[in-house]
Amino acid sequence: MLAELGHFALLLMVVTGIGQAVLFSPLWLRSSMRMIAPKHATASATGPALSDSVEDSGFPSVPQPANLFLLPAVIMLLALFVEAALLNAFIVSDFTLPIVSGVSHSSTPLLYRIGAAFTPDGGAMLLWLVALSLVNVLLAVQLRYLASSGPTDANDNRFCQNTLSIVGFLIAILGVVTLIDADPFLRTTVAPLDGRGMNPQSQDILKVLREPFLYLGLAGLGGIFALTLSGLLDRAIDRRLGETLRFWTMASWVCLSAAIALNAYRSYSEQAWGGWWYWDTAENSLLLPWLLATALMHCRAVLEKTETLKSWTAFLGITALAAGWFGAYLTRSDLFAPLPETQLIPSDSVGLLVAFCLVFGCAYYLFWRAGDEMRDRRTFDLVSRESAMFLNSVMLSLIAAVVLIGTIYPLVLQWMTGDPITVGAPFYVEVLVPIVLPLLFLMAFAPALRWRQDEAWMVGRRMKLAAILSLITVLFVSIRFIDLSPAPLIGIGLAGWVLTASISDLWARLWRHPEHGESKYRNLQLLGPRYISMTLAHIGLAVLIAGGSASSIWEEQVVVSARAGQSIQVGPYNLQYEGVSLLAGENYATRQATFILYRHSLPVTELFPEIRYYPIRGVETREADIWHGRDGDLHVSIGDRDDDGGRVVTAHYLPMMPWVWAGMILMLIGGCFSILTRIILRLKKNGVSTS
Amino acid sequence: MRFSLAVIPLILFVALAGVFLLNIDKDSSVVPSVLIDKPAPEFSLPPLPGRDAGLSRADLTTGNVSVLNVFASWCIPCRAEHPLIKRLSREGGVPVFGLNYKEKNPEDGVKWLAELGDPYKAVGMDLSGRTGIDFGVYGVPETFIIDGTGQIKYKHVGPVTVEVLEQILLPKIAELKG
Repeated sequence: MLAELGHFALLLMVVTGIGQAVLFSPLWLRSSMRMIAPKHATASATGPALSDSVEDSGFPSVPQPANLFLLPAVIMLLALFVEAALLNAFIVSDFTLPIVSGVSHSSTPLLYRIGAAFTPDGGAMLLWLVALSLVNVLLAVQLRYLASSGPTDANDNRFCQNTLSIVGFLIAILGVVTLIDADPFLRTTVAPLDGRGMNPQSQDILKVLREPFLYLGLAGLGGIFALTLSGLLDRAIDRRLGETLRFWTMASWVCLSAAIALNAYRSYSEQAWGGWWYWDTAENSLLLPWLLATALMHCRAVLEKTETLKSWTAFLGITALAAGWFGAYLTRSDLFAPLPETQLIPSDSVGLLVAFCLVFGCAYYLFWRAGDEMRDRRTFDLVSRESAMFLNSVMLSLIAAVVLIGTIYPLVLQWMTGDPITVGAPFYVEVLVPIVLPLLFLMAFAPALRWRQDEAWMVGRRMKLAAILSLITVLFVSIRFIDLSPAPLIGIGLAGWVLTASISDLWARLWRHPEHGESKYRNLQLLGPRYISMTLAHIGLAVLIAGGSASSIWEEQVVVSARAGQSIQVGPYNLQYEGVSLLAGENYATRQATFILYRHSLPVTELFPEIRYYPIRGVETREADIWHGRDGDLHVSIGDRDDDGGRVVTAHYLPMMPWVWAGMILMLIGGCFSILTRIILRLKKNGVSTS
Repeated sequence: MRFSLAVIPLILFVALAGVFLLNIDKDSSVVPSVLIDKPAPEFSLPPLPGRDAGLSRADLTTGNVSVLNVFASWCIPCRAEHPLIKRLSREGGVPVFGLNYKEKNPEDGVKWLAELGDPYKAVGMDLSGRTGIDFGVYGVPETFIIDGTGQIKYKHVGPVTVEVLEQILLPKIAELKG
């Protein structure tokens, strides 16, 4: 019954979404009014009394800021109810719903029954819808706040309503796609006695956590899309839009980064070969929107500061969502792998593709029409922070283009010639390295450059220390490890360059000579949350690159057939194999090996890699166990039994691998810091202004 | 100049969208199940205890479309789908063969069929699961549709439901029979 109510609520949500799209958009009303009563239209277009004049003439009024919240709140409640209905079906294991019986089983633990709700198409779409309705409410709050804090005019109202109208449209169209492509609430006439079980590969807390972050990120991009588009409608890609976009770019970026980090750690701990990035479709479809969100984050700052790069920012604002949407389509369609047989009637997500074409066809058309009027009034020099940020976002977009091409090239080739090919890491490394290296090189300059114009020699002086230090690092590494190939060496050198540049810039700012009468904490205050979060994120990236390069160079791998009591030497560690015991997990049986890890003959820890067998699906998964030491990760996994009775043990020593994780965490902290300080500052300011 | 630049995203987008929209129908078997359109593996299985005819590849290559259903007495979904297999055998107009997969006790399959009814034209007993592996069985029950030359044309993993029977299996069989 709850499922039927959920189904109905989903329908209502679509209707309310359409309602929001139509009611909030003065555009459609105005165009229809223009046909009926031209004189009102001209009056409303010019004067601030837009809605008054409409009301006078007896036409339905455009919602005032006061009741801005009604529809978003209703949609939010409906979305929460729909999600609750679906989760309930999974929690009580209602196998009359094919979506439940397809990916869940009565023996699946509660946490993963909930997690399983996000894995099928219908569940994922619902999660996206819930996230989008949250964005809808937050946008209404933010726009209301903007309207109440500053001087308002009809333009602001229109902007605000256009934005919400576009979000309402997105909600409606995604709701329709959910109902057409993968209706989660359809029942089957004959319920199976039990479900098919969750995909064991997904039965992992990191995988379960990844989904909400991914869809929050995508929904955030939806907010950006709506704001950008309504800016384009108003021909107002300006400083205020840049400021409004600030929270959304940061929030989406943080969510997408978190999803990527979780995904990377997941594949690192799952697979037997100790890698954390595979360039597969699911990862690429995460990476695409992340790259564009990163690019957007930078040129948005330029837009806010100097009102330049208007069209480029607008382009990225639209394209970031396009990339996320397209990625969602790619992973969900049957283009790369046959769909799981769990789906009753396999839908290849055509609805998602058609909606994609519709939404972004309109968006890019609008971009083209408005592009004419988006000339930047100001200019900037070649040597200036604007141009560094611009180059940076162009390079990030180039990287995104390469990833996109690498992902869809095999498909297009297959459609044209029929030969299946795969594009793997070598392609990406070969093509991306020449873009990433200059990107890193330039990245170090941006914080030290001045806005508008700067002198090359001045910059050189500021970067002197960083250049010397990073050259010393490269020299040291290349002397110490004489037979090193140049590519990773350049990687390490550039990571050092970014790191030292960030730190020396911070240093220089901290020790700026205080002007007369300033407190000695003035320098600290001058840094500001933006600068701190940017520095954290840049340092994080440098640390990540250094860790990634170093671990790829100095990785040690040992594969042996081990017997109980045998000792395996890998890197600075000694692994003693104690044997395998058969244990029962909640819904799996596991062969768990025990290793004692020694360093310099002192025991460090015990490690328990496993081979799990999930009987419901009859699938084995291998779970590595990892020790994060201070100078590197020890990654150990077990394989099958050998012919001679030994157990195949794969041990990796990955020096500096913790740097990769630390780098990701630093970047995330940087992003969160920026959002939190912003919110706190806003609230404080608000408190002051009202009191 | 701006004007012409701003149209580039639209052009690229239309090109990309066009390529994908035009190929919507082509993509459904980029990485097909390895067995689809491949000849069924060579096998020869003994009969159930107390019966004469076992099952071998020759039964599948008689020129008629046939269905091979993998079942086991220990498998609960098999019990659930069994009435539909009977219906398939009645309505499909093609012989339905059974592959009794990995029984602990050879008698179990016979008892199970005696209890629930036997829709199969012939049943082979795969105690070791070797033939099942050749067929790529990874979750019992599974149902294969095989054409007259012994080529596997369709594979359904999991219990057959009314929807699967009516919307996939029967139309597929009718299509193959021509």
